[in-house]
Amino acid sequence: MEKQDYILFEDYLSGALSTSDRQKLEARLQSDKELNAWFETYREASAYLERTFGKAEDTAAFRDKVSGISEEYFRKQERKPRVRKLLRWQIAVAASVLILLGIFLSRRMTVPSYEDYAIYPEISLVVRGEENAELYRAETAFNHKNYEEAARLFGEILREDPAHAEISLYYAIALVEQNRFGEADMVFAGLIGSRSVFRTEALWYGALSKLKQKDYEACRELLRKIPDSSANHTAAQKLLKRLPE
Amino acid sequence: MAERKIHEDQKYIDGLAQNNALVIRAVYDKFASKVIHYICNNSGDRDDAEDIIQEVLVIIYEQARDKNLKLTCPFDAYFFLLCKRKWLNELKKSSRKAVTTEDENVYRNEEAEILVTETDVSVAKEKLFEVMFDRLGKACKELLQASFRMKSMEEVADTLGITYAYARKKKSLCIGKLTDMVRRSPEYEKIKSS
Repeated sequence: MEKQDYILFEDYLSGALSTSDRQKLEARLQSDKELNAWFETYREASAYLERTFGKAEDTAAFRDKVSGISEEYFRKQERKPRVRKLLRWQIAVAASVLILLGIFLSRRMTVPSYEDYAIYPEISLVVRGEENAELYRAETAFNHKNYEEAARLFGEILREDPAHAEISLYYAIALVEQNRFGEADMVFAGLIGSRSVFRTEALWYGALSKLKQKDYEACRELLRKIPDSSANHTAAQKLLKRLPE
Repeated sequence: MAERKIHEDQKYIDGLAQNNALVIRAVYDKFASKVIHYICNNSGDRDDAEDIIQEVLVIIYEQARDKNLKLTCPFDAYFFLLCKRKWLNELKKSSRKAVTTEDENVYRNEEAEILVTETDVSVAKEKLFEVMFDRLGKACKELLQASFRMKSMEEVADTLGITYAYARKKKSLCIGKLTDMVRRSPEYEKIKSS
């Protein structure tokens, strides 16, 4: 390929060609298959460089997040205690104790509480190479269970970026923790009505909000909408069975 | 070819492209155990599985971000097959033996195979560009890195102490050189015909 052609390709891709020069090149690309093939590879080379150098920080941020979550996942699994095998008579004794206890406590124990279910994973929203002190403060507050501060900060972030689904979800959870149900349920409803990947998470945490409000009917309604494919489906089914009429 | 239908699991792909922690966690919770099981039964251990899963997630992330990956099969099938092929490649490299288990056919999914092959081609091409970039002269490498890292060619020219016009011209010639090396490599023909 001629040097001049590469310069032309670059000018074309960066939009620096005049209309007539652009049309001239397009006509040549149409009629000259060989030139077209080189142009396509030039375009691919340029896209490769953009990915490798232009988006290197994004990829590093993703790698960081994945490696953190991976670490958590694999170490957590290793820590899982082995289930000790019980002898038959031990099982029998344990079972009868449980039955007795069950008779005494059944009334109190069958009503599930919000606290049984409200277990949040540690969140990590801040990505490397991104300077966002506010987000970092919000994340830290949330992870330290300082929900008042977290809700305030998430609220501020959402004022600037109201469509941010992940932050909306944590914002709503922080509100539920402070019993600010009206505000929380509105945020959940927004997420549930959206096509966001957080839709089913919002169904689950929205249901927990209703559970905390002891509005079992509304809780049931949300739980039933959680699809089979969701990670929360099994928990939702169990909770459904435990809810009082 | 008929329009391929996008699977509802596209949500995982979109979530990964958005670097979304909840989605990444969900992928681990739902899909990692099958991969771990496969690798541990195939001359590997949990550390190998951990590495393979991370590498595959980065591949999916880049495919989603840069190649607009559209999932036409369940995420599970795509993810597992990518991990499996990557692991079998690792075994080949280290000349450890792969154990073929009979239940392998259980995971067969034609759409997933097509998609994974497309991803493999794309990764192989990426690798070829990487190798060829490495063979460029020092001046070209420096100029290209600066051109794609910095916001404007004015900034590049300033930093490298050259004129703006020269920086622009040099950029196109260096990408041209890379284009040339890639197209003339035997590897390129192999990828194209696969």
